[in-house]
Amino acid sequence: MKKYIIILSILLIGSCTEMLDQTDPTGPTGEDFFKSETDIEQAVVAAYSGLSNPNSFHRIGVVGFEQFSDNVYSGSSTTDGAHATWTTFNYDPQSTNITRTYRGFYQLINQCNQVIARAPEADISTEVLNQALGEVRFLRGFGHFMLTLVFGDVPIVTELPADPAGFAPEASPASEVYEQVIADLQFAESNLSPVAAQNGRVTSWTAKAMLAKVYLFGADELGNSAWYGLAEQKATEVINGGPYGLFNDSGNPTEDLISIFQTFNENGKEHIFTVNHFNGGGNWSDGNVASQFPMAMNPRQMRNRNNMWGFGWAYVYEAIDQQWSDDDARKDYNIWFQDEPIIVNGDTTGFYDQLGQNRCCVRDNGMGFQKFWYQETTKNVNGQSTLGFPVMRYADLLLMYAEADLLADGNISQQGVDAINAVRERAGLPALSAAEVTLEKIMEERRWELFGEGKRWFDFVRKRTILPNLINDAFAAIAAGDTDNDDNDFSAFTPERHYKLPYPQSAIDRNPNLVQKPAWSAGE
Amino acid sequence: MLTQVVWAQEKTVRGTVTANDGSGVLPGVTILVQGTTNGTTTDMNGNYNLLVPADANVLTFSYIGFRTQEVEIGNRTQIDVELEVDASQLEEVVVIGFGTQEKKDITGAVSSVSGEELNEIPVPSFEQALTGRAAGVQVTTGSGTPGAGASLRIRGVGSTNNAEPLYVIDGIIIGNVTGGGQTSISPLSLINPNDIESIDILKDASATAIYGARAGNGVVIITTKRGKEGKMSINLDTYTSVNVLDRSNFSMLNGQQWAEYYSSMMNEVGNTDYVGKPFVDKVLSGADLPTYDWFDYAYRDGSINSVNLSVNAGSEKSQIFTSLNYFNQEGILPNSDLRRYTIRLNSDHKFGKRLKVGNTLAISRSEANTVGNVNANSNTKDWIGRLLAANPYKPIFDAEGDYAGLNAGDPDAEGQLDYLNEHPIWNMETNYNRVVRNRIWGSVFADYEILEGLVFHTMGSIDWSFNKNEARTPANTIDGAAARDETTSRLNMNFNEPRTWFVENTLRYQKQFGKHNINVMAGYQAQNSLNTGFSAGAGAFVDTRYWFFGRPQLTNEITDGEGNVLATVPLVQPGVGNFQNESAFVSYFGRAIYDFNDKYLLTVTVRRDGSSRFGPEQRWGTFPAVSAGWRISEEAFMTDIEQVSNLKLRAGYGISGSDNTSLYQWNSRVGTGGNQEYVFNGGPVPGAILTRLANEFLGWEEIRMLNVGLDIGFFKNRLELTVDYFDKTTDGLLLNFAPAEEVGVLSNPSGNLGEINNKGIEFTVNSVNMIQGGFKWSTNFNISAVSNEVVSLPANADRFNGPNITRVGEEIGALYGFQSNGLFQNWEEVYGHAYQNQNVESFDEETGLPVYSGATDQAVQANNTAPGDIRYVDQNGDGFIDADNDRVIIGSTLPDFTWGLNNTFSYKGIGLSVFFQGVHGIDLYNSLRIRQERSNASFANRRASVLDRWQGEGTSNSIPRAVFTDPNSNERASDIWVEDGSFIRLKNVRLSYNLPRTLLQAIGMQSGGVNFYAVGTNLLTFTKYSGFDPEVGLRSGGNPETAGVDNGAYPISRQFTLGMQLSF
Repeated sequence: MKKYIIILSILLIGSCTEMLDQTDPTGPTGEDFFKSETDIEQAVVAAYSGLSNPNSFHRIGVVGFEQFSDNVYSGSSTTDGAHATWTTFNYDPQSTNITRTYRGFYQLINQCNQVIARAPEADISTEVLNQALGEVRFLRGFGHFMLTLVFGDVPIVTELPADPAGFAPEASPASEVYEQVIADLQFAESNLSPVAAQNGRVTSWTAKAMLAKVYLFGADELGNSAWYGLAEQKATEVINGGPYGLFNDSGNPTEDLISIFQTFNENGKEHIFTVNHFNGGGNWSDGNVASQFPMAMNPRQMRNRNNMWGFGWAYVYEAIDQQWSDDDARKDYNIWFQDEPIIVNGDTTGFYDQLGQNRCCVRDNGMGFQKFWYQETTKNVNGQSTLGFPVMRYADLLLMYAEADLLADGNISQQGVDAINAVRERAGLPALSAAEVTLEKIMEERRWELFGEGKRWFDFVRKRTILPNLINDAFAAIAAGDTDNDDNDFSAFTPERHYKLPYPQSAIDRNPNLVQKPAWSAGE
Repeated sequence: MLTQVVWAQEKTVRGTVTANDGSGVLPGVTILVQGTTNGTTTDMNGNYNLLVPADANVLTFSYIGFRTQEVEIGNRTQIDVELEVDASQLEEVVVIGFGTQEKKDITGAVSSVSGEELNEIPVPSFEQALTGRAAGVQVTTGSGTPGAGASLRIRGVGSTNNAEPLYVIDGIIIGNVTGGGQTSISPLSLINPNDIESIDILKDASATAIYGARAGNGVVIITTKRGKEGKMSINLDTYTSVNVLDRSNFSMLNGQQWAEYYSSMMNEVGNTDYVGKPFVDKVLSGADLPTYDWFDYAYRDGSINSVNLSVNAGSEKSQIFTSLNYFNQEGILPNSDLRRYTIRLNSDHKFGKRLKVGNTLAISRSEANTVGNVNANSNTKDWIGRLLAANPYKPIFDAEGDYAGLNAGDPDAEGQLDYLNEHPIWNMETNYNRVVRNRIWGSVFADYEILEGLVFHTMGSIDWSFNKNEARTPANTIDGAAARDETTSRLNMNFNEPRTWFVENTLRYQKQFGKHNINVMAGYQAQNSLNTGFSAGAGAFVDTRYWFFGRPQLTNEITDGEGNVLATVPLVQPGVGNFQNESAFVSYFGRAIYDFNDKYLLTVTVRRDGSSRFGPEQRWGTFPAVSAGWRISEEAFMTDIEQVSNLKLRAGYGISGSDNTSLYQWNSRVGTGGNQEYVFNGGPVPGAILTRLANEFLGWEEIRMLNVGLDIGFFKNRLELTVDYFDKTTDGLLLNFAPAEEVGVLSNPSGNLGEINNKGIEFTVNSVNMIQGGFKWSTNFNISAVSNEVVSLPANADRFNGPNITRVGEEIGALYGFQSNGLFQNWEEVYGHAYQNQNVESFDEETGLPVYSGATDQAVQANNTAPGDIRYVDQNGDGFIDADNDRVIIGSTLPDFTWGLNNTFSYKGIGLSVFFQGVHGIDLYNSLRIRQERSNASFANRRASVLDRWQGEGTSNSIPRAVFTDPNSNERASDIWVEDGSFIRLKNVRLSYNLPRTLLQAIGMQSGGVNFYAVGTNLLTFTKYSGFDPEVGLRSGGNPETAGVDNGAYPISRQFTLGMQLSF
């Protein structure tokens, strides 16, 4: 018997199963991460990187939505296929622009949720924890806000899926999404430091300003007029107590304007919230640090010439030459005109020559988009740019303040009039009287001030109920001003289908609980 | 004094042992002096030589399958014996993993191939020689690259992952080796085929379950030769082969024909001013210009030389087998060759009656140049396609006799088209991809018999390799002026050192209690594999004659705005990298085999495996199996039926697994790359976050298989039939899947999703057809059919891979594309068909359908669908030919059935074997032909088939018109490019001759033998396929989802071998 016991024990020699515990030796897994203060700091940085990843604001989210508006259109033809159908409202749920936008913001949200779920177990002080949570909850709130702005009803994701294969959230009504956004931003407002530890991070002021915007847009979107007052209140707090101001001290309107989009001014006093970029020298399509939007918007005709790279995704509608007063310094600042000299470092290196080019997409009178060209470093390596994308500028906040002030009770206060006039003054335009400040006027002011910054389209979207003619008049004016009949036309635009994008087909395919919108599913 | 006595008392007896069935001499017959352990065995020529004491009376001759014979010695010193076949004892022993079993008692589905059978075909890698040898085993050698392996599929394709079987060599689990395809030098090619004693293939789950979690795709058990008791024998086997490519399946255009094609392609679109027109015109006007056959110039006959020396020596206590092998193969293209050196030492020693200790040791080194290979999918290595595509007017040499275009100032000889493009021969000769593998691999084991029938076995092994890969990409030639572009030069080196240790302990017990036979076994295994590696690369070398890091590289200057040089940096930044990964297995297993009265058989197996590839929750899996057999022929009621000597019904069901997923997939992963950076204070700040979420649910692929089989033997088993039916389901396929977008992860996790089913039938016949007057003829035939169906996939979404698709309800990796319906013969047909790219006037506002213009002018012919273009079927009848709705399954990349037929004839010392192989009902996508028939701007040469193209109504209904830029996209994936890949091949003919004994004695060879042989391999192939060869391997990494696409793989050639075997 003893023999058998010996044998049995020999059989089991080395039967230690610890050798089965193998984890990737080349880097940490989630088990080893979210432990130290450094881990949490890095995770928060990575959460921010969701803003600049190739999907969200890298190019599509900026240029794409501006192309829906009456400001610019894609000058590309079949060579940039996605944009040709995009800008004419002929896209479908398969459009990569739609997929990228949706995917990009849920990636941002996932990265925030990782910090929210795991940071509390880390070995860090409450102060550090709250600051970290404040930053990522701001970002998560912003992510959901963008999603509802673009898609309407969307799934709210506030957890880390334990079983990725089984995760299939349903879309929540926009009103619930707004509640979640506001909850996140309020947390950020009360937990964030008022001063950014590093230039580019969000602060309690950023949160307040974003709350103002969310209340204003939410009031429009949900028909909840009580929120106009809340928007006004938050904007007032920022204007009265915040660290922000306009770049308006050079004495020359054009120079003031040019200084807004310069890397040395980035995250400066006018920039409330910017998606930051850095030219890493890599390939623009895979790194997320460098930005592509200035190159995408530069005119295609001069690609790789005259220090100007361009995809030509932002040609300016012919009618705008008539619509936009020559007195407005912003007009020349924003637009390339035929034969306009190209001046680099004080030297004329060439002339903007729209008509002389023999490229795919020349339109007669086609005016190019110039605004982001001034930024010096856009002109060098492979069209990559370090320029940050302006999500919210102080000028934008001033105009939102004026709008909220007006809509809260139907009257505009002097402070509201001052706000809009501050913006006009920088552009070299005369001040308006209180009587002249109508909602339409504010909308027009927003159009010229924020030209090319991806804001105009969302003004159409949020005003679709209370100001339905805004978009109709705008499109009609573009069509009427198109003397040679070669601009983009908007005939495919259908309110039910196009104010809010369809869910991307990939999201429908992978999530059985996500149901395509009726306007996009009928007849398919 | 004593010596004298011994001398006086002993004498030497010699003789030859033959079989009475005409099969000739018998090697390996045991001869014993009766009542003693003094004995020997016959050598390969049936000869023996034994020292016998003077007082010995009787010798016993015993051999498996033959009646033991006792022979009086008397005064004789020469005793020749003819042994009688014993049908009842014709019991092969089959290796079943952790032991052997007599074939009559097997209850699972096992196929065996002997080393002898295997070595009939001279191959670099043994698995290639399994082709057609075993039912249910499909072997595809998709590449003729020296050292390339073959891909094995046992009972269909059970997985979308690597579906290769598990290899177990001398009891050591090697793993699921991806040897096959066109991609690599097979690690199995490091095993010397001459060392193999037998290969046993476990096919059904009741047989494979003993290997549990990795056995789901079948198990191949390789047993190497071991020493035998008896006189030392030395065996020398050497052969030389010549490899010749059969190019008869297709030919390319000659120069004149090419010019005509090119000009007609341009005329079709009305282009009268194209690049190269003056040259084309010159040719067409009859100028006799020199032409060049690039493929011919690059091609050389291949060769193989192999020398194998083995020694077998053994006393009663100790036996050794040792061998030395040198193998050298030159491929049919420059710079493709393989050299291999192997040494083996297997030994067994007995200590006392109960303890046996042994070892296995193999050391090997292979050096391969694989430039002529490797992966035909990679554009940079597609030499076959590039040689064939070289324009016939493109000169190979310049005026100085150097390769054309390489020297600065080489003239752009007037119109010598394509002169400035790459020089494929120069590229092949200078491209250098050398793969060196060194492997030491050995084990030590001990068997201790504790009680009678109870054996404890323990084994430890190590498998340790050092591999090196050096790849040099020379500077490409870009234009005549700057002859080479050094910036494209590149040197990459990889080193890696995998090592695996393995321990195994088992306890076996075998005992007979009356009519009850039991055989039980229990054991434990542990295995740990660690792989570490290092790689480095640099590019843009100034002088590409010297391939060393640290040599001067071309540089870039970084300047400030004023043009001042701030820094000088290499144009191509050198890079280094390293890796490390580790995996482990711990397993417990047990098996009980029981039979009652040799009539009712039962095998129960269970294995429990723990794998480091899965998370703690899913780490352990249990794999049970049961099988039973009923030997009906042993029943009383069968004894009257004399013709039936064996009748056995078998059935089994079991579960095994497959863990073929990358390591660490269950774990979450923290990403720290550029995508996690963000910009604060104007500069990048590193970030880190989970880029892959944990998936604790990740586990094995589970393979459930039912097997029912019947073995029948007639006429004392001279005719044996085996038939097996199986139904095999792979559940929980390990797949990368895209989770819901809302999950928001950056990289897709793996999950157990999807199911595949394989059903099939296998049939084997072994027959001794004739034994008469020293003549013997026997036949082995096997045939198997498998049907494959993908039952489910993640979200049941199609998986696309080029022209392949994996779709629920279809076969895995089916071919997918448009269905053609001939060519448009006239404009009426063009405008009467759904929209492909016809000239459209407008689109109907109501229906959205195109309104055709009906125009037939030159511009329309040039830019739109026109007569002579392929007509595609509008599957859904919506008036548009579109990829979403009109593509269908256009081919099956899995054969309907495969077979092998071997006939062997022997007469006295002459042996002949003729082996045919067949593969039927398989489709191939001839991607090489697309490149050779399409109309595009390139000056590339075309296949001669374009001479029969459409050139007017009624001229062709299958080969479209030549039209520059191909406005109808005739080259799109469609059934036009799908060909029947069925073939019947005379795989092997071997003729051998043993020098007669008398002759040997005349030249003084008292023992041993001499055998000459001639072998022809791949002699004839009957196929409709128009590529080099219908045996097209898997494209990349053994992925069954990309099967059946011929991108111009390194072709398999005919091989003629002469060899000699010498033993003494």
